[in-house]
Parts: sequence; C-alpha cells; structure tokens
Amino acid sequence: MKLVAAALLGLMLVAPAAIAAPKYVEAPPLAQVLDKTAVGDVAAGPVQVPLITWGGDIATIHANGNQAATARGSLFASEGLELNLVREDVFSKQVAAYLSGRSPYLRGTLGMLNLAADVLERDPRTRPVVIYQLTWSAGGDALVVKSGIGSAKDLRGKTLALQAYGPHVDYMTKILGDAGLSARDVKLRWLPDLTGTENAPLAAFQQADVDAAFLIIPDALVATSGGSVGTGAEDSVKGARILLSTKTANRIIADVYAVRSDYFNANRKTVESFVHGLMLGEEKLDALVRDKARRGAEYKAAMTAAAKLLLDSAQAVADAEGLYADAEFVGHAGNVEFFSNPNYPRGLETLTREAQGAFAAIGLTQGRAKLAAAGWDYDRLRQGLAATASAETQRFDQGQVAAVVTRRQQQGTLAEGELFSFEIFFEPNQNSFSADLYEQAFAKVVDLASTYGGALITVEGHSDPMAYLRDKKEGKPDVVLGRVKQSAKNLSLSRSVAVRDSIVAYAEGRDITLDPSQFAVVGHGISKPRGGLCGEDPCAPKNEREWRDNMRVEFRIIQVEAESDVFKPL
Amino acid sequence: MAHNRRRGGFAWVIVVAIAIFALSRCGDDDEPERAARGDRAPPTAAESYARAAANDSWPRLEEGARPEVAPDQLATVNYYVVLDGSGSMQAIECSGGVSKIEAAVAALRRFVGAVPADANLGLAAFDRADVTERVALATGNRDAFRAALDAVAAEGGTPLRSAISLGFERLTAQARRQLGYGEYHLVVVTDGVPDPSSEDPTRVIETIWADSPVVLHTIGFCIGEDHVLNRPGRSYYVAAESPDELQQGLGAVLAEAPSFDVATFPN
Repeated sequence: MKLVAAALLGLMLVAPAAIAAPKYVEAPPLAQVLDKTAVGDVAAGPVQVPLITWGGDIATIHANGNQAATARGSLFASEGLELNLVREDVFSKQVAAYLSGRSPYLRGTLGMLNLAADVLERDPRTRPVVIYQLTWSAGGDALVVKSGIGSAKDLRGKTLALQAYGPHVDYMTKILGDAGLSARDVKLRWLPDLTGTENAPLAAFQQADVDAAFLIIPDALVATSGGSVGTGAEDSVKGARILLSTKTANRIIADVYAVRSDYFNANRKTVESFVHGLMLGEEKLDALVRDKARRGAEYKAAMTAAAKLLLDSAQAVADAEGLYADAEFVGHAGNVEFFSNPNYPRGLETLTREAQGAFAAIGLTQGRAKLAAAGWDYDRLRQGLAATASAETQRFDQGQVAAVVTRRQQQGTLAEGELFSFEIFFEPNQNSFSADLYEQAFAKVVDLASTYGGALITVEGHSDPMAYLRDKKEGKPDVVLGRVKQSAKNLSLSRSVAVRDSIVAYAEGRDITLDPSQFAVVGHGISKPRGGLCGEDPCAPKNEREWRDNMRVEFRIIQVEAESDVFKPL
Repeated sequence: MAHNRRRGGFAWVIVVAIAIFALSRCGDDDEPERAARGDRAPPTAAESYARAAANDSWPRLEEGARPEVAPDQLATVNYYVVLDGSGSMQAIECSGGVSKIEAAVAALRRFVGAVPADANLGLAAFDRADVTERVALATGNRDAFRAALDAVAAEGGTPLRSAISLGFERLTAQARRQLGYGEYHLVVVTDGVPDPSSEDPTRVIETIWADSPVVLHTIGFCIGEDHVLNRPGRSYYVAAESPDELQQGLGAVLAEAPSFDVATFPN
C-alpha cells in the first residue's frame, strides 16, 4: 500500500500537467518511421544486449553478475560471453540500433517485434530470429474503462488511448478481436510515451473524450483509485475501473529476444550460450527469491542492481520487486511450448499470425513478414537446469469457484465482470455435444481459455420451458410443477457438464491441455429464458425460432480478479 | 522524456470490492435458517416455489460457503425418512396381525432395498428417545439404516413439527453441499395426528412448499385421508390401510420425476 500511496502522491505532483490535453501522435508503419536508417554490420567487441524496464529483465541482469558489463564468475561469463547490457525502452531507437549493427539483439514484446517485422525483413541480414521467451505479462498491464463500458463488446464506437508502437498494441487488437470487433470499430488515440509524462495514456484517459486506455498497472491503479472504482479524486477518473488486466489475460503479452539472421548464422553457438545463460539466470533468480529470507544479502544485491539498471535508482528496490511480481517466467518448459509445440494455442506462430493480421488491417504494418524461430535443441539446453518439466497445476479452487458462481447466480450478478460471451444451441432431448457438431465454438472456447488463463469460464445450461408451461396451463398441481422445475435445473446442469467434458476432450484430442478448474458449470433450468419472464413464468415463445432460442448453452468469460478466494495460493 | 517505464513497479494491489447484494426474494440474512427451522411466517396462497419459474434462491448460499461434494455428485437424489415411533404405533390394526411399527419397519426395509445405491438416504424418528436423527444422509449406509429401523421403540407422543423441521433442515444443509442441484424428498410415515397446541406442523409444511423444491411425501398409516399433512396439490399423500398399501406408497416415492423436456412446438 505504501507503493500505491507513493504512486498517487507522485501523480498529484504532476497533476497540473496531467490535466492539460496530451499531444497525440500519428502511428504510421515503423517501416516509414525508420525509412532512412541504414543497415550496417554488427559491431565487434562486447555484444550490446538491450534491456527494457520489465521484471523479466531482472533475470538477465542476474545472469550477467548483477551489472551492465558481464562480471567475472557470472552465468554469462561461464558461458564464455562478454556482454554489455543497455536499457532502451524506446522501441524505435532499439530497432535503429539493431539495423545499424550496434546490437544484434532486439528485446521487446512479441507484439512490438511484429510491428517492426516488415522493416526488419527488408534486408536479409536483419531478418529476425526469435530465440527466447522470457515471460508472460501476468498483472503488469491493464485495460481501464470509464462507466458505461461493461464488457469488451461495449468498446464499439469508443475512443481508446494507448502508446504508439508500445507493448499494448497487440493486447488491444486481441481483446477487440475476441469481442467480435476490430480496431476499425473504435477510435484510436496514439501517445508517444507509455507512462510518467503528460503525453502518456493516463493523461489521455483523464480527458473527457477518451473512454478507455491501455495502461501499465501503477497508472491503472491511479486511475481507478487503487484498483476499485475511480472516485475522481487524486488523479483518478470518476467511475473508471479495470476491465481486464494481464492477470486475467495472461497469455497475450509475451516478452522475447530476437537476433539478426546474419549474426545468428555466424554465431549460432554463441547465441545458444546466451539463451542457455538466460535460462540459468531465470532459474537461479527464482531460487534466490524463494530463499530470500536466508540469502538476504545476495537477494538485496540482485534487486539493487535491477533497480539501478532498470529504474535509474539503486534505491528503487521495492519498485524492482514489483516489476518482478508482474512477470510470469516461462522457463525451459515454456520455451519448448512456445517455440516447438505446433498445437500450443499461444505459441509464436499463432501470436504472430494474430498480431500481423490485425496490424496490417489498420495500417500499422505494410504486410506480413516472417518471424523465424531459432529451432534450438532443447534437450541440449536442458543441461544444468534443475526444472525442465512443466507442472500441470490447477489455478482455481474449484469448490470456491462453484460457490461464487452459484451465489452470483442466485443474486443475478453472474454477468458482472463479463468479458466475452457466446452461445451454442441444441435440439430437444439432446444430451451429447460432440465436437463434430460444435467444432467452431469449441475451438473458440479453447482459444479463450488459453488466452485468458486468469478468467473463469462459465458453461451455463438452459432448459426448454415449454413442458413446464404446458403443465401449468393444464392445471397440474404445485407438487408436479416443482419436480418439473427442479428436473429442468438438473438437466441443464448435466448438459453443461457434458459440454464442458466435450470441450476438454476436444482439446486433449489436439494435444492441448486445458485447466479443468477454469471451467464452472451452471444449470439455470428454466429460470432465465431467452424470451424473458412474463410475470413469474417464462414468456411463451411465439414462434419456433423463439422456442429454439431457449435451448442453449451459454459461455461466459468472467474477470474475477477481485475474488481472490477463487485462486489457488501459489 | 522521463524514463519510459514499461509496466510494473508497484505492487499489484486490488481493492476487493465485491458488492454483496441482497437476494431479490429475501433481504434477511437469517431467512434460510428460519426457513429450514420452519419459523417462517405463513405465506400467502399465491406464493409457491414451484410456480415461480425464475425463483432459484434455494438453498441460500452464504458468503464463503462451498460445495462439499464432488462435481459429478451435484445432482444426487436425496431421501430423508421421518418415522413415527409414537406409542400408537404399537397397536395392531390394519397391519396384518403385527404392530403398526413392525409393519412400517418391514415396509421401510424393503424400501431401502429399492433406493438407488447412489442416492443419499437419511432417517429421523421420534419414539421413547424423542426426536433425533438416527442415520445421517449418505450413501453406503443401508445396513445402518436397517439397524436404526429395528431399534425404534414405539412410545410417546407425535412431535411431527419437530421431526419434519429436522428433516427439512438436513435436506437444506445437503442442498447447500450440492449447490441446490439434485432432488430432495422428505418421506413421513405416521399413524397419528399431532397435538395442535404444541406440534402443529402447518408452518413448516407451508415453508417447504413456498421456499424450496423439497417434495413432501406422507404415508398416513391407518388414519385415512383426513390428516394435517394431506395438502392436495402441494405434497404427495397416500392413505395406506394395509401393509401392502404402505409398501405401494413408499414405492411411489421412488417414481422418477416427470419428464419435461419432450417439447413439441404447438404451432
């Protein structure tokens, strides 16, 4: 809370500047921005490796011996490397250094790399080879909205602010796409900065004509009065709330390293050593963090170095710790999954295809370009690592999830926190839901479950109320109607369970592992007919279409970040 | 430009802001407990859980409640038997030459054999040991159930309200474990009329009808149709005048719920 208070205070100090209208920029393709940058050969001497201010980079610093120039005895030194770590958060400057040869490496999110892919591809020497995934963003970034925007589909026609060429561009296009929208359905306001200035998305969000913004989490907390609903005081925006953070959308923003093709082809062994050192660094840092009580001095040295290199202040240890907490390191197993498993729904190829398609559609890039994978021998990279198997864990407390969902069902608040929803329909008396009939819908559920790993997915069955209505019309007694009503509830639950099981089986058939704890089954029976209620009864359908509309299973992807009880403790 | 810090830096603190809404039907937190005890004020004739299609409020789940059954057991069927072991059950009338309690126990022993193995079964009785639960709702307890039947020693009055309240309370608690899914049957086997001054069960019966999907089955043994538990249309009532009819009445308890999903659109 001290940190949040400090953030609020910091923003109060710049409040007068934040009120002023920010300076928006255009976002032409990077190929145009960097049109005049000449391509040069990679410079000799210690290899310059870019960092950006992100928790994943703390492991890189740790592997380098907690300093910018590779320290003697460090993990990278043991790999025979001599590196110079240089922070560069302005991506276009990083790309310029990469093209000119000052550094063979690029460090960014995969979305940022895709923004630059066409400019990188122009010269065969600079075609990027993606060599390593550091992390997923798992809480560090957020979509913040003003009142009146209840779910992602409500963004249609709204004005969104975000940093040009920044880490949130593919985050934005993915969310819009999953809501059935595209960037053409919204008005975009591009900002030159990400945070900390009057030309950053937070400042834009404080303007009356901006409805939503993609913010880093400290700014999101400021805008929403600490993560709840903005009060309008202390730089918060009245009514603002976090619609979706990467705690929920935890498989969209992948942080990666890429290397120039010419350097990769000439120095493959060296690049592999760099990747191996990164893996070791991540693992050693993880062990150090877990054991920080006993290894206090060592831990302090690591975080102090990170604070100095990433935040320009050795005193900013708490901020460095915050950065670390917002990143989910993927390790050896995650890299195998990301680069080598063709069925992994959130792998390099899929994310690249999604991002490039969306970027080209709105003119951010000039076409598609290949982002090649290094094709490592991951068995060889396993050497010296302690943990290389991915542990399949259940992220949600299933009992708690079921209770929360049922309570919301009773209170009529199940739709609160809804991000996306869609339905499938069934025939009378249908009790099996094979993938043959519902492949498109099941694929969508698998994609959403994989992308929004921190969201709950409710599978909600509804029953046909016709028999109940007919019994009532025929004057059947209460004791019969009650049993019919309860049977409808039970049948709708069994249908939900059947659908959930079919989806899990569908995923397993494609070598995709879903977390069954992410799914909550609900049986509404006849209590929520599509046609609404007429008095205390479901409205009688007027035609066959209305009748069939009741026979449905509804999927709802729900943000439950505030319901901490539903998450299993790590 | 100030350092362009990408993300993070501050602890990811979310202020928990879960609005706890009152249920649309009842704003009183104690309502379900009262309902389970049968302390509810008598409802008006218009109120019926069965007739309010959108009313899905039973059982009320409290903050922090969680299911205690496996997901594949949420729809389990529950039978809770209330056996009258009052003194009048010692009489030998319309029971084939044995005492009524012996006939009832024999019928219930056969009934137990017919209850599906995956259904929960429980027993409460009132006899010389007053009203107590003899067997908790569970599967795999059939031998204990039979033994408890054999141990009923007929004596004393007819505290029907207390016994039915106990059964409803147990079914309500089980419904919380099953999140309201499943079936809930309260089966009362009795030969007597309660003392209206101390044990009038009207209120609890009205509460069951108004607030829950619990199905009340009463087997009135040798007492004809004129019984306080005979609520035409609101509960099932069988006037058993012989051991065979008693057995048939119990058999009817196990009949499947009416089918409702065969829908033909009435164009």
